[in-house]
Amino acid sequence: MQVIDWVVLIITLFFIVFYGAWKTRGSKNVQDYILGNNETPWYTVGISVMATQASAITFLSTPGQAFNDGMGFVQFYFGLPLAMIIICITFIPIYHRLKVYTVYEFLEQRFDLKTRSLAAILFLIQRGFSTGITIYAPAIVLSSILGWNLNLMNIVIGILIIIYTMTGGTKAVNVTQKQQMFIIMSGMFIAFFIILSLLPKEVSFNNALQIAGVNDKMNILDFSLDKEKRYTVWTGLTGGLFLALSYFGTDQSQAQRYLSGKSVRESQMGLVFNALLKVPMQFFILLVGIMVYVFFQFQSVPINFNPNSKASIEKSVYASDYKKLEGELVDIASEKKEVTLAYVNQLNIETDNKVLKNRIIALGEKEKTLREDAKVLISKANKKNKTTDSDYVFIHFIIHYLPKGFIGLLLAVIICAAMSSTAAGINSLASTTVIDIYKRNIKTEKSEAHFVKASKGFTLLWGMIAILFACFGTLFENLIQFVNIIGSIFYGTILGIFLVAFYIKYVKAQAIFWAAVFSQIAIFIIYYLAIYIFPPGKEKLSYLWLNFIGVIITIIVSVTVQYFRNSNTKQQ
Amino acid sequence: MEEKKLRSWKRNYTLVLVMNALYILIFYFIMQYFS
Repeated sequence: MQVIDWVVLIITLFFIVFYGAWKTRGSKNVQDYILGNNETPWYTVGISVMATQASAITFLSTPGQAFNDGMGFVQFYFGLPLAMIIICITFIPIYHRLKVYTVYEFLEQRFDLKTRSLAAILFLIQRGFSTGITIYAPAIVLSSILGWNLNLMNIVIGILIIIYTMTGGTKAVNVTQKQQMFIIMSGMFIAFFIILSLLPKEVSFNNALQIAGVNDKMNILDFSLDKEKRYTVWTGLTGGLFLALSYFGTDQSQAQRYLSGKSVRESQMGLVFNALLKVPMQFFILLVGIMVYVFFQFQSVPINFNPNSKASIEKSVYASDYKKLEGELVDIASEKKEVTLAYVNQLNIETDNKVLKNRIIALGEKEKTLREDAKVLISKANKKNKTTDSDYVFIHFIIHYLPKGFIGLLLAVIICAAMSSTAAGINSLASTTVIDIYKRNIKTEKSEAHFVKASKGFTLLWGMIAILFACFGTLFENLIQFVNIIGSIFYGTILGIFLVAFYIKYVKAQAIFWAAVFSQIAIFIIYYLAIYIFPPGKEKLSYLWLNFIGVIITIIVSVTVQYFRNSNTKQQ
Repeated sequence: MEEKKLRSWKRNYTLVLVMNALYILIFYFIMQYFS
C-alpha cells in the first residue's frame, strides 16, 4: 500500500462517517430516530435495501466464486424479484397501515404479545451473531493479506459504524448507504475496466468471454433437476424465493429500510428498484470475477490464494510435496498461456481452432486437479486449515495488480460494504430491543426523549457486542458457516409465523405461539440428529433445508392446534 | 373492500417479471454463444 492508497482510503471512510453523523444529528423523537421521520424517498429505500444485503464478503467472495465455479451463482437470486412482489403486495401495505416501528409489532396486533416477543427474541439472537460476522469476515481476509492487526481492524471498523449509527439512527444509515453504494459500484466498475485494460493487447472483451467459455465458466443457467447441485434455475426460484421472503419480509434489518419510506408507494418502489437491479448487479460482480479469471490465465498465480494455508503448509512435512505441485502448476500455466494466446489469434482470424480449444480444456483439467491436490495437502498439514480460497482471489488481484490509488479505493469498497450491512444490523437490533422488549415490557410510560436516548444506548451496546464477537471470531473454526446455520435454524420459524399471520386467518394466537415453540424445538432436534453429530461434509441434511422445514412445521402444527382448539370449544 | 384495495397489482410488478424473464433470456443467449 502506497501513501496515496492510505489517503484515498482514510478520506473516503472519514468523509462518509462524519458527513453522515453531522447531516443526521439531533433526532427529537422515536419516529425520527427509528423510521427517519418517514421521509425516505423510494430511491434511497432501494439503495439502502441493496446496500444492507451487500456485505463486504459479497464483494470479496462473489468474484472468487466466479473464478472457481463460473457464473452459475447468479441463479441463486432468481427468486428474489418474486419475493419483492409478494412483500410489496402483502407485507408493506399492512405494516404501513398499522404504523409499526418493527415488523414484530404487527405480530402482537395479529396474535398476541408473547408471539411478538418470541419472534423478536429469535431475531435478536440470529442477527446479533451475524452482525459480528459482517465486521469479522472482511477483517480476517484483509488482515491476512495486508498484515494488519485483526482486532485493531475489528475495533476501528466497529467504532466508525457506531459513531454515525448512534448519532443519526436510521436516517444516518440511509444517508451513508447511498454514499457507500456509490463508492462500491464506482469501485467495481473501475476495477472491471482496469482488468480489461490489463489483458494482453490481442485479447478483446469478446475474446475474454470466449476464453471463459472454453474454461467452462460461462454456464450461467442450469435447468437440471439434480438434487446434488446447489445452484440451478429451480433451486434459485424456490429456495431463493423462501430465503428472500424471510430476509426481506421478516428481518428487521431489511424491513426498517422500507418502513422508513415516505408512503406505501415509496416503500414499494424501493423494493421494485431492488427487484429490477439485483440480478444484473450480481451478474456484473460475477463478471468481474470472470475477467479476473481470464486475466490470471496470462499471469503466474498461486496454487491456493489463502496466504494462511501457504504459511501453514510451509512449516509442515508436506512443504516439499506442495512445492512440487506449485512447480507443476507453473509449467501448466505457462503452456496454457501460450495455447490460449494462439487460440485467441485464431479466433481473431475467425477460426475456432478445435485442437487448441481441446488443449486448453485438457490443461484446465490438469490445473483443477493440481489445485485439488494442493487442498488435500493443506488439509493434511493441519485439519483446522481452511482449504477454500475463493474469498482471497479478488483481494489478491487488488493488492498485486491494481495501480496506485485504486488499491485504496477498492479497500474502501470492501470496508464500505462491511459498514453498510453492519450499520443496518446494529440499527435494527437497537430498534427491536427498544420497541419490542424495553418499551413494550419494561418502561411503558416514558417520554420520547427517553426512548431516543435508550435507542442510542442500545445502538452503542449492540455495536460493542458486534465488535466483541468479531474479536473472538478466531475462536470458532468455521465461523461464517456457523452463523449461516444459526440463521437457518431461526429463519424458518420466523417466516412460518409471518406467513400464517398474513395468509391463514383461521389460526389464532395460542395456536401459532405453541406451533412456533414446537417448530423451534423440532428444528434444534433435526439439526442435532441430521447435521451436528456428523463430521463436516457427511451431514444427512443440508442446513439450508432447515429454513423450509421450519416454515412447514410452523404452518402445519398451527393449523392442527387451531383445529383441535376449535373442536374442544365446540364440545364445551 | 379496503383489503382488496390494499393488495393491488401494479404495472411495476409486471415490469419486474418481464425484465427478470428478459435477464434470464439474455443469460441463455450469452451462455449459448460463449459456452
